[in-house]
Amino acid sequence: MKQRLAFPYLTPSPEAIDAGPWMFSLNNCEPRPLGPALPNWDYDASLVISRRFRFDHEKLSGDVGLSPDADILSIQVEAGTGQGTLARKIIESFRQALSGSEPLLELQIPLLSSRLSSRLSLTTTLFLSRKFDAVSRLSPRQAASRLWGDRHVVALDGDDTLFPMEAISFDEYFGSRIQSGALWHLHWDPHHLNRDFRGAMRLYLNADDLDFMTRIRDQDPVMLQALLSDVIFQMCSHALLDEDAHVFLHEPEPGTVAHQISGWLKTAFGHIPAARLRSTLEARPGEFRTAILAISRV
Amino acid sequence: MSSPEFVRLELADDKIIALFQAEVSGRGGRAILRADPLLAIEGGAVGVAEAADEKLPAIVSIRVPGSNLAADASTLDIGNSTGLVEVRMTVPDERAVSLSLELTGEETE
Repeated sequence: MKQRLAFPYLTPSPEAIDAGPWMFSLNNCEPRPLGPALPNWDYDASLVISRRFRFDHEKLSGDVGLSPDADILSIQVEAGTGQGTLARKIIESFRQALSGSEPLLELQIPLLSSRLSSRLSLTTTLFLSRKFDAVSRLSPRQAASRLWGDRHVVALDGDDTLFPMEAISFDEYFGSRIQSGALWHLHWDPHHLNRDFRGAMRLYLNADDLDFMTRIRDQDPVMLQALLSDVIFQMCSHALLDEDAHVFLHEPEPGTVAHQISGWLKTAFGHIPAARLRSTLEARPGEFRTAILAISRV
Repeated sequence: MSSPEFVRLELADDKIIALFQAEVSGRGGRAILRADPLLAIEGGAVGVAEAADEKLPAIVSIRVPGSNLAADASTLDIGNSTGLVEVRMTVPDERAVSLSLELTGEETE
């Protein structure tokens, strides 16, 4: 994965830390991989999350300039919850010291479902647990220096809206401009695909068109398919035609605009690279659009 | 142009330098490469102009490997060049940094 940040000290190479996927066990069932959503979850469910790590301590210490037997590394998992990319509330903070002689680590963390809402965000951080008198100027020294980390965000079943939507008067919003005759308007910033999806976009519905609003309220499947496909097509086509955006689609941060677009593209076309999908969009736009229409069926 | 990727840290005159690389492909005729240092904060990054702090990162150099194109500045006229570019920037103690790259300037043939 591309690293876009530079820390003021050396950090471990990917080979030094083998972090397994997050697993979950719901109501004492067999552990399963934790994907982007948590199916069959409810506020009364018993939930345990777990993860395995394998550390190459010699490699890790060599990478950052620490002595392998220093035993000054700890791992922390923060479980947060709430809407948005950043957790609104941390409900659990689990910390464990690493031993330089033990390569394997398995974390098991029970979570109270009654304290969860909308999303579960799991942030894992490997850090220096105390100050270290390093020989190298480039080695980490300060306590709490972060050496490695990742984040996994999970949507909790049945507790998320599809789109942030709002009904407004297009006559007031657009005035005499031609757009006032449209049924909907997607407001979003295509230049920041790494922003939180729900914070970066809003779908405005034309409240002046009573027939349209009735169909939306009644969840008319044809109308919803047309609306949804238009939104998905707008966002996917822009992201594919903008070459700079492809890097965000490759390994998108969960919860971001890029993550949502990438998910739609995978649903419609499978695991095809963005550059090839762009060719499909340019050479066979009708076929591309029809695939988007098909996945928009509600 | 691809997003800048952090490659490694270097030491120069006891200063910590971060090396970033990016790939310039479709330039759209724009010839001036401009590099802006960013301070990383939780969940994002801010430009140094927005950070009221004396510990700020700064661009040291931009160069196009395999060519004579190089500047100890935050802009470089790369002409019609495409391919890899390298940007070096200082990293203040106890700060994480990132980089924004942009192609600007007049259109060229």
